[in-house]
Amino acid sequence: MRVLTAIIAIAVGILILLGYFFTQAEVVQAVLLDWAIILAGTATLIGIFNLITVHADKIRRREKDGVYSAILIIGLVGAFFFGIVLKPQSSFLQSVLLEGIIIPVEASLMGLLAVSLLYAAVRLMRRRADMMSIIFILTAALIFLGSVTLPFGEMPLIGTLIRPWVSQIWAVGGARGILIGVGLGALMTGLRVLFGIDRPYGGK
Amino acid sequence: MAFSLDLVTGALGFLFTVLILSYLIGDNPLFKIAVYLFVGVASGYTAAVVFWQVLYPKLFLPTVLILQTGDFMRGVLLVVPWLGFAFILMKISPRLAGIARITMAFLVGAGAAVTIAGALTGTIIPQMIATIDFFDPSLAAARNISAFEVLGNGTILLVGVVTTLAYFHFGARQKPDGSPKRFAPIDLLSWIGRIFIGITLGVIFAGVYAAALSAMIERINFLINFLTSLLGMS
Amino acid sequence: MGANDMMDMVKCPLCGTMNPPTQKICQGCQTPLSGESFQPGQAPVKKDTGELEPILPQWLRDARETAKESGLGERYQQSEPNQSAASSSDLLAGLQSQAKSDDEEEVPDWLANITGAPKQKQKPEEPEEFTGVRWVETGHRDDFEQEDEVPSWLAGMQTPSTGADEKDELTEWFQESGAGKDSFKSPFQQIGNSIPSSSQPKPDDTTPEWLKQMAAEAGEKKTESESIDWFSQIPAESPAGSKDQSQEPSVPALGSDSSDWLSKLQADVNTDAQEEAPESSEFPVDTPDWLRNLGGVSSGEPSPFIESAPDEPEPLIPEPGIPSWLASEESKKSDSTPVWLQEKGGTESDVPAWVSQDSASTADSQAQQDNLESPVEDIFSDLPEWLKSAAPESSIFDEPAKPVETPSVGAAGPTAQPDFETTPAFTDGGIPSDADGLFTEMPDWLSNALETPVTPGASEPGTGSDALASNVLPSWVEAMRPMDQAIPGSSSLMSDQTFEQRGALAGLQGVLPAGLGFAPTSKPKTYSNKLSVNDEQLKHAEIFEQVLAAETAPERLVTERQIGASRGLRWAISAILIGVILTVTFLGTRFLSVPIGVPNELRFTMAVAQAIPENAPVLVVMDYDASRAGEMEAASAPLFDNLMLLKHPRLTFIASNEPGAILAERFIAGPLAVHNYQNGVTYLNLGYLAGAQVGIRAFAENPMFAAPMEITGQPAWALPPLQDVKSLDQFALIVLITDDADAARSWIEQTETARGVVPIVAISSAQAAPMIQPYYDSGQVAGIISGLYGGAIVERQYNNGRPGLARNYWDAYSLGMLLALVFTLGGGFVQLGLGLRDRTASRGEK
Repeated sequence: MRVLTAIIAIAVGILILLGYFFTQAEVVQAVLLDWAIILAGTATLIGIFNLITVHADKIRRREKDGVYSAILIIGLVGAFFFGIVLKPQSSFLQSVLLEGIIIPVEASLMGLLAVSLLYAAVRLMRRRADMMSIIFILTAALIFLGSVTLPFGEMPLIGTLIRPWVSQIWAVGGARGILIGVGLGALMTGLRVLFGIDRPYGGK
Repeated sequence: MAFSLDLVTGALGFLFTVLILSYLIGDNPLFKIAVYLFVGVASGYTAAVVFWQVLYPKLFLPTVLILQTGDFMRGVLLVVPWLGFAFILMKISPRLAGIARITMAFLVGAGAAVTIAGALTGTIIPQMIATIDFFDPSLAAARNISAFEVLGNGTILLVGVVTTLAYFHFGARQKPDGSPKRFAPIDLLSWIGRIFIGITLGVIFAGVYAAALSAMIERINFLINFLTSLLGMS
Repeated sequence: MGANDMMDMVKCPLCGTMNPPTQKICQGCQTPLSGESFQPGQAPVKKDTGELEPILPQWLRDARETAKESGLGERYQQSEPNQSAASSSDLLAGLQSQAKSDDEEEVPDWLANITGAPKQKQKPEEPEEFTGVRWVETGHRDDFEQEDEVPSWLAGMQTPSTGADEKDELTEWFQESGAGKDSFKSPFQQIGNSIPSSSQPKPDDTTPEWLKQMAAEAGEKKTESESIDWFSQIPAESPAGSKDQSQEPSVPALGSDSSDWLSKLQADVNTDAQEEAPESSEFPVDTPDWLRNLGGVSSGEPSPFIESAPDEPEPLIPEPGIPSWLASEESKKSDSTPVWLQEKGGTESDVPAWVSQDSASTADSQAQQDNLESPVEDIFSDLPEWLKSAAPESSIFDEPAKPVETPSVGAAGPTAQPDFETTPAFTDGGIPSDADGLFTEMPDWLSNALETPVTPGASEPGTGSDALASNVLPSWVEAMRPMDQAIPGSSSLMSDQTFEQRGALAGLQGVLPAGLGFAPTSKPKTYSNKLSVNDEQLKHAEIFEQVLAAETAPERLVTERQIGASRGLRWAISAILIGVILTVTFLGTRFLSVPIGVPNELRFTMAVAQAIPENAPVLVVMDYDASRAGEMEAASAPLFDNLMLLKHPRLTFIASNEPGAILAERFIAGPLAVHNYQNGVTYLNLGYLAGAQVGIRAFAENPMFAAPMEITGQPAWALPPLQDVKSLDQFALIVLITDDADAARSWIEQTETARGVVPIVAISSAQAAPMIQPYYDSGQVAGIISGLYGGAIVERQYNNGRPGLARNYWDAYSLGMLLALVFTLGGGFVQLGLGLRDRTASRGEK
């Protein structure tokens, strides 16, 4: 099995990679990628099934938070049932599930994040007062200030000059370095998979 | 406000918004109920989306069509997806979960190839070229950037990129006492890189806060609008 | 009674009673102890029994010659190629001279044959090497490996190190014979058992339990060649006794030996065994007591039979057909003497027949034939108790008698030979079903005997010269007797009747010598219980103790003062932030200006968007979560409002996250509802594109293949919004609405080559914009609209202040950013001061 999975991963990777450089291989690449889309969707379903299993076990073991697990499973089964029957784009589901539950909860959690971020920024200087923290806080404060507008427009100098300069030059310098670093890391990771050194699919 | 689907939607949205914001007071069962229900509903909805928008049009429907038309030659392309589908379903059974590795290997191999090509052609090379080209006066002129800006900002960008990369270089020599010691120029560059990274993270932090603040505003705006609508104030 | 008196005491070979030297008859059992009989402890005399060949009866000599010429032995030898070539003074001792073997066996054959160890490899043992006795008692595995310490008499018991995977055939033989068998068998009882072993070339496990235990403890297995019985040794004893001679026919040797053995019986008619025994003895001086005790009865003669005897679960009562050469006519007349041992000396009713050999001195060859036909029903009933206990439950003689037409040796061709490797010599069920074949390999002399019909007269004691006389051992037995006199004090040892209580030899009497010469002679070495350490070791120990002390010593923890979560601060931040937002939103104030300055990335975005043709296909990528729907709609609505108002683009939505598709519907039905776009007519929703980067790449390369249908299940690429669009580069514009920098990177990377010159603009959340900005600088992204800030600018600058979400949110947003500044800077500096105070305090504490 180890050898088989490694061969599959390497072969698929190479065939897809050839599609980037040779037009003759684009058809094969398209087929393989289409298969991958289907399998990725299936993997999502398996992940959801695993979620059900975990919470069903909690209910079966009568754990402390078993009630919440039951609520989760009820919501999951209900949403899946109505999603299958009515199809996801139905106005009913859009109204009830999306507008009534998903967006309110997610957006509210995101709103809580604003409070948490402020709290964390305030506490940061007490916990850690080194150069990087100070630069971090000062930069954030500068962006905050530069985003604030007055009744007549942006904050002079800061909003019109310093903020764009910092966010589009200094920050981009770091961001580009990070992006290149991420790209190099992704490249190396992909190569290790294609060389069979890393086998995240199991079988090490 | 007449009883309608909008009212139900608004009521649900109001309820869940309040339940989640109740966390500002402290963790409470109502918050947990809202979060667990949200996770369940989102997962169930995602499953339905995957079924109707991925598996149905790409796997089930073509299979049914092939069975109806008898054009089994087209079905050759569906053999592998069906096999992969079956294999990955084996993950449900702990005893047969090993078979799912085949499908996972397929996905990992495809992802690795796509990542390699994308990173190489979409990020590494273009970003390196962009760092160089920033000093190109003609390109700067096309973007309405003055020569002074080119020189100054280009230098900042270049230093930022190099020093940031240096910061993530963790190679070091071993001192006689066993402690690691970076190569001095790398150490200097990484120190400068910390400044750039600090600035970048500060900007990102501000952006995250701005996004969160926008969400908070949107929710509060929804609450006000719902209440005013409910109370007939608007 | 003094020690010397004890040494002079004569032990009865039968009951073990110690008798004064002057006593002629045992006081206990009336067994003659005179010089005419064989005296226990009497040193055998080395004797070349080959000299007795001429006195063999003619029929035996003929049989031997016939057997020599036959190929039976060769076949046998082939079946056991590794058979030891050792010669021994055994039942076939008469072959010694013929074999010209110069082997000086110090291990009795019966012991050597237990394991089949090559006798040539056995070294002469020193008496003090009986320290090995202890390992017999303790049964320690390692002790078995110390071959040098193993006494010669036990050396043969050791299983040679021939590899763990080799089969312990001998043990199996015994195991096959069934459970409940006595571990020790009378040598004479084994005689009969040994015979079928010759006809069954595969000698299976016949190892007694105590030997099995020893073998198991030794953890070694025997090879087949090493585990063969005494019979298997026969070929090795043929002429040269070397491996070169191993191809010599073995069965002829058997026949020769057997006839020699029988010839001894005849030769003993007028032979004084007591005179010959000491001369013919070649046995090792370290013969164990128990063997000597037996030797008092049987000397070395039974040795070959013990280990070779298959432990057959056969009826105790033998049937007619038993070789009558072992039976005695006196068996009917004697009550106490075993029938099969009795000879015609009927007057010595209490003396075992083998002891009363002298009475058989008058037996002729006809009597010998008669003995073969003697009934054996009560053979074991006549055994003394001590012998009964050691007797096997069954023997070959227990086989129901039936006249067997034993083919001649020559007739038994190789094809008729059973497979030695697969055919067990005996099975649990007793004699194998093909019992006829059991005797097919028998020598002629024995076959002839078996063929002799059983007649009542066969039970008559033999009177021929072949008959065994009481107390008179045949010469060949004399030849095998160990020279006990060579061991000082052996006579005292012989009287050692110690009953083994434990160990492998438990239950046996007088097996292990515990007397002079066998007990450990050296004084046990004394060891000091004090450690003898040198300075260096002390130094190391000291260091080690210091290390241990350092590890176990309580270390003062440098604890940082816990900064507990300040609920008050959290509540204060929450209250202030929510209060301000709530107030501003509720009041709907618009006192703050939206940004006036237009960033370059936003300007280019609008320029690209406004450059697309009228009614051009525009791909809109929806890649944001529901949590940021408010921000993303506020940021993107102004651009689409502008586009839809001015260019009426045909919009095609595709989502790379699960809720993206329905968020697109919400987007169209919400902020853009005023444009009244219709699904399938002016806009299209391709739905969810699974697989992240993989899906994006698939869509970029072949969008028709990757997303063939729109969200309602209709074929998408035939609908008006996608008219004349077959690939990604046929779109006029790609708008990426995302809140995820990684998703943005994936779309930018994977569409890099596929989109051609089609511009891609990003409408990003404020949190993702800093990571998308480099792609704008590199020209990969034509423009960026960043969050609410960018949306507000577009609303004001490009939509002529058309009211939108951005403007509705802006005051609250601007104040929220101001609060963030205040909290971050103000609170940060306060906390910095508190932190410095804490650190100073903690340093002071240190």
